[in-house]
Amino acid sequence: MAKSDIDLVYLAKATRDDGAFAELVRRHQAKLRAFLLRLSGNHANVDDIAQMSLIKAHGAIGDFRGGGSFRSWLFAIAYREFLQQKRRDDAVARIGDAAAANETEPATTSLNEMSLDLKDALLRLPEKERAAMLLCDAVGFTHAEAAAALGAPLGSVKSWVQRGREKMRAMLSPPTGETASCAGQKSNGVVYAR
Amino acid sequence: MRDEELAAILREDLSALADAYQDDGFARNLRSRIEARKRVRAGILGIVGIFGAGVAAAQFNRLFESASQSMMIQGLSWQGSGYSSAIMASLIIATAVIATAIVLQREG
Repeated sequence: MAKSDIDLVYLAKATRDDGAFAELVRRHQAKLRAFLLRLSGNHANVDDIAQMSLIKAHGAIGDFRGGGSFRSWLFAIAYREFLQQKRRDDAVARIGDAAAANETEPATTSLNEMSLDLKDALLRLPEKERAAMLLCDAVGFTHAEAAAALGAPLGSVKSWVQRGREKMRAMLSPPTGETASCAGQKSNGVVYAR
Repeated sequence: MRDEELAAILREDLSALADAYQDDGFARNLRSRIEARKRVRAGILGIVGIFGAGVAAAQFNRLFESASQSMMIQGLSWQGSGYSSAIMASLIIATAVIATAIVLQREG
């Protein structure tokens, strides 16, 4: 019978068994990286963030107290890593923007009527709504697990998920006219921004 | 679009991504990297330990020599064992270093 995550964590803690930790990695790395990819929207740093998160988890496995699920603990580490990376990227981008400000015109592309896919629609959500929605709807976390992973109150996570869904619905619904409401319409697979 | 439909789209998208990631060698690379970090850590500990043991042995040697001299004054001598004080000091330090290494290894 396959061992549960908690069994493997205790095995890894008690014996410093890298085999047990490797099994935990095998179980969770793919969804973790998929989550990070949809959260960040680019491939560039996903594997680095995931690798750093898992190395930190390996080093800190002794601190896992078992109050929540292992996956929410792991995703919490990854989410913090993502935020740190984002802050670094933003700082670099600000420096780059300042240098290029006098050389280039600001982007003028209209977001209206632009064809979108799921990825783009997700990236239009505020970060916390995107993360909460991905965890609850895509990864399959409970609200409590998502709250633990995001380090946020349960009520906030619930409202982020709800707001994210509403915004996604609006973005993914096809336009039927300039003034038409999208409420109640189903997506036909072609995705549009409003 | 209902919440369930939206969740299903997101779930399918993430599952497809996860399937592509499942067996791409990431886990194997990670394990190699963790093992490499352990080897580097063990190497650093070893170098620091050898250096520390050398310094400590030099100090111990002095202590052993003075202790040996005072024992000889009192008519006692441990040098009947056939080992010099330097070797005795080194053995004690080596034992301490090995014990420390075992503890560190168990602690991870």
